[in-house]
Amino acid sequence: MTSNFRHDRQRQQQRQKFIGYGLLFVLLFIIFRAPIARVLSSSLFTVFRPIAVLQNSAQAWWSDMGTLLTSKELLALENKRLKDALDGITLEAYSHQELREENEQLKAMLGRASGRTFVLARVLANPGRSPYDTLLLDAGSDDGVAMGMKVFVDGDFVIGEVERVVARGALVTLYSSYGKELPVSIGSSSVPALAKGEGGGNFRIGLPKDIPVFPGDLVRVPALAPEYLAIVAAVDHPDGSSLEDVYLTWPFNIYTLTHVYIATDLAATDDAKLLSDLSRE
Amino acid sequence: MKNIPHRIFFDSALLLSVFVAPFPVTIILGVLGLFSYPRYGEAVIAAVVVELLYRGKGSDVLGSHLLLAVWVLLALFIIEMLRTVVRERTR
Repeated sequence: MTSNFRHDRQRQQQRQKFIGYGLLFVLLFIIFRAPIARVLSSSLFTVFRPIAVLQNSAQAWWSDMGTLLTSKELLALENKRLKDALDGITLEAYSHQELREENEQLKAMLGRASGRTFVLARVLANPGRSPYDTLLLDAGSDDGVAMGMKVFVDGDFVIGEVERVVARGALVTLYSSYGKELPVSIGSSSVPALAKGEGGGNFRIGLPKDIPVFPGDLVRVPALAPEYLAIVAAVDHPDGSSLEDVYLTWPFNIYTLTHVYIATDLAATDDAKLLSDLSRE
Repeated sequence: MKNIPHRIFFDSALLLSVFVAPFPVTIILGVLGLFSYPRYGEAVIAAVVVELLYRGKGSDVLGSHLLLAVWVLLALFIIEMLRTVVRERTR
């Protein structure tokens, strides 16, 4: 009798536990589907921003301290190496700049000037801090940033799009996010292809075997102004397959990125602008 | 049972790690918390904070569309069930 009573009580407790977890499960879905998610997200960003700024400043100070402790001999060697590298890059930059201006002039003559304007933004959180391929930036709707705007790094590499905007911050989803697809052109003959995000700044493209693609080739995003997605890191020719796997990567480290440029005149759609305005309200 | 100040300190570390530490650190602290404290719902809260702060539309976690918070809730449920089973067996 006592044993039965105890079993009943245990069963009741189990049932209550199941109901509790079920309710929690439903609550989670409600939180993420309802507009409250945007309010919570915005509030969290307000808390996160000063912490991230403080952390970045502390890291910069620590890095400077490390430089002070490095020996003079090592610093002199590094200085010489950097000067040599800078000389080479400066020479290339002259011709690059001239070609770029000529390109812009020709486009303007044909009535297709790209005329981009950028907003500089500091990276508050890199992908390493989150399980997603996203960046948190310190520029938001107060700086003219809207949803759908493209995000660039030096060298005209486009890395992602603004997906969420708050007053003083923005969330950028990188093109390398797992499952993302982007139309590109690849190789010397500009073969159209679809680059698939593999996470962590890596992409993969499947191409017919006879298309000549080599490591180091630039992968372009079809646009008026020069936009590059990545460079070819490796090409794999599986035995017996009519396709080749082309692996792409960014020529910079996304985990140590400190600044990016947001192209403010490239908002994706009017709907995106409207949503951004609503979120600002 | 661990004392409450100890748990509060651990919770603070877990939540702070969401803002300042790499994600694996948060995962390790979350797993430690789930195994060290009874009904460690704070891990679900940390997962919700991660989702709200860092997740974009259609972003995946470990190749899955499912919310990270749901995975953590499932882990909490399984660990609690295991705890109950072990407690009853050893009684």
